[in-house]
Amino acid sequence: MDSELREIEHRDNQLKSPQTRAVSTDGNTDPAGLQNVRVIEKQAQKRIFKIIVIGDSNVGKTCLTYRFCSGKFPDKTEATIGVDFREKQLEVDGENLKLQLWDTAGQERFRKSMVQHYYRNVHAVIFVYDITKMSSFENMSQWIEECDRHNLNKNIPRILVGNKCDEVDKVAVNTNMAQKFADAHGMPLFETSAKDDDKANHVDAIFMTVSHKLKNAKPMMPVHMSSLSPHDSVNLRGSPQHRGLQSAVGVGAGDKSSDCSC
Amino acid sequence: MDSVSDDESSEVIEESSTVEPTPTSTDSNLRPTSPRHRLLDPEPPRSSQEDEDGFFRVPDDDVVPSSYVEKNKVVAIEKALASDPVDIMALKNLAISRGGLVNKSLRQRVWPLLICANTNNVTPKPSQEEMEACSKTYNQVVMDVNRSSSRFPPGIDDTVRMAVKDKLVDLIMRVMLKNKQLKYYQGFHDVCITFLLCMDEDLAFAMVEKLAMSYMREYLDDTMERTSLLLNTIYPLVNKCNPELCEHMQRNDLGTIFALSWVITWFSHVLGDIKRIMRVFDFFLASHRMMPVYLSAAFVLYREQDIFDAGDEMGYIHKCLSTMPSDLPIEYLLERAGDLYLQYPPTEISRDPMLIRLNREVFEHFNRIDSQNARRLARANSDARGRLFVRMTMWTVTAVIGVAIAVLYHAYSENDWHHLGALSPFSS
Repeated sequence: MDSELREIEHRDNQLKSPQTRAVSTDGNTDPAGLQNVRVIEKQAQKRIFKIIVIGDSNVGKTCLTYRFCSGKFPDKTEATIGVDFREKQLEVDGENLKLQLWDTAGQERFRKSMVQHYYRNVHAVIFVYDITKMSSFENMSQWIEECDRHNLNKNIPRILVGNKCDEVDKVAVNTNMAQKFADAHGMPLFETSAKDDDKANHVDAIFMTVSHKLKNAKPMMPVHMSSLSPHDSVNLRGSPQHRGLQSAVGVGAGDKSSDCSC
Repeated sequence: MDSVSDDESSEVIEESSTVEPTPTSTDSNLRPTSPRHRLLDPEPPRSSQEDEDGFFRVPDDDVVPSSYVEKNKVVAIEKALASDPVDIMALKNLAISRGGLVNKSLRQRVWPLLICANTNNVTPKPSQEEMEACSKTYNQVVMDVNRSSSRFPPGIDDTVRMAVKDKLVDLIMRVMLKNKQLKYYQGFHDVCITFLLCMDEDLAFAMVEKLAMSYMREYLDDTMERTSLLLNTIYPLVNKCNPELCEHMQRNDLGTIFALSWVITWFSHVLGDIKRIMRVFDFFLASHRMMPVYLSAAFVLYREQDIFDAGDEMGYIHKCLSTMPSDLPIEYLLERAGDLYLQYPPTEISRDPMLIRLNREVFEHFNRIDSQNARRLARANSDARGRLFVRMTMWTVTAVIGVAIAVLYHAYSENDWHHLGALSPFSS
């Protein structure tokens, strides 16, 4: 009940301040609209967004979520058994949000039986592969198919993340190929490294982009949820994959999306 | 098995009663060796502070029993071992009661007896080629072993840890290759590490293989179906003792994943301290195979207040349960688990209406997966059939055209088509 009320209230807010829509599409914050939203939304409770992170074993799901939530790369990681929960509070355009991340185990047996429990009620899905391991990329279609099967709302934001791009000499999944795949599935692509401190803000950028999309979407109206349209691409400045990502254009594409979050 | 012979083990105890660190002499495992599994990541260089004396000892182990109670226990265990035949019931009681089996050298001797592990004629290690041929499992195992550093006691020498990791891959693959029906799961490596930190490779193999074929057989199935059924048992147990708590957990759709790593790794994934882990293993090895579930229920009941404090938020409850407080009263929890077992034995709890309802959901879920798989298989088959049809048609058409050309050629060369002669390539 409560959350529904909040959602409705939020929608009203958005009607009053159409500028908020602009925030999501071009990634630049509009001071006038922001103030407007801030005043009204401060009264509302923090909204919570649930995100599930999936992908093959050892692609770095735990490291990515850990990096985002704790700001550092974990010293010692271990295989995730079942599901781990992490949370981070952040401010997006003046609104305090909570992102809840469900970091899942990669082994097939776990995803076939138990992870589906966590697909329920999620607001976004992050697919992760390892750019140094072709098989983890090839298996992406299986993960996507599985995600579709769990009666997920097809319009919820999904993003594709290629992790471990610090291992420059081991790259096995070429960016153009990944970009084509992402386009075909209507997802933006990020290539990043949870390990590399220089790229740590890229990891933030990924989650911030998702937060923007979620924040500015109207949960009860799926049309607006699909603001991540096909050919959407996010370019991370300074990443070695810069060139490849530039080829794709679309709504919210290019440097702008990472600008908004850094 | 040499390492379990009485003579050698009593030597171990005498040796250990000296205060000097006598670390690796009795543990063939805990000596640096050159790794065989080339996919294992090299250990990263660490600061010299962490390396200390370069020796490795499992804390708690091989030290003089500290208290009077422990001394008495050692005497009682020795007595049970010395009796002819070995007094298994007494050993089980000693393993369950406060303090468990006290130290590593006693565990090396008692653990195999508790589960009747076959320590003679241990199957030899498979060759490196054999292991690598089983590539899917092998790769998964190596990935998990690579990420198992946090399971090793702090202060362990890097080269020693590397050697143990290497043996860990061998151990897991030895069990999997010998029993092809078993399917490796992430977490099984946690169980195996515990044994490797306590005993030599062959003895660890005997233990792990026996467990894999008995206590842990369900976890090593193709699917998690039987494990899910087992985990469901936590709910009726909690419900019997604290219906409000159970209602709170169910209302928040908590599910059973929070307890997955507890049960399938026998708590070795979450307890951190090897001393506590070994104590819990003493208890499980001497108990009913469902005991990990009873201990899980005891854990949940113990965290009652924290669970209520987490409020109506599934994530927080999950987080609360998956974080182990450092001051867990392990002995109390084991006792509680034992009481729960006596009060609500498996045969009784299996008839609980709540469990039956929860299990039905699991069956339905796996049936759905089965039927989806069947549909996919059927689709794949029909695709294959479709492709075959196209191929056969192509062959037929090719054959017909071929025959037609042959006939035409024949007719052409037989008939005297002089008027085409100038154009014909066949004209002589």
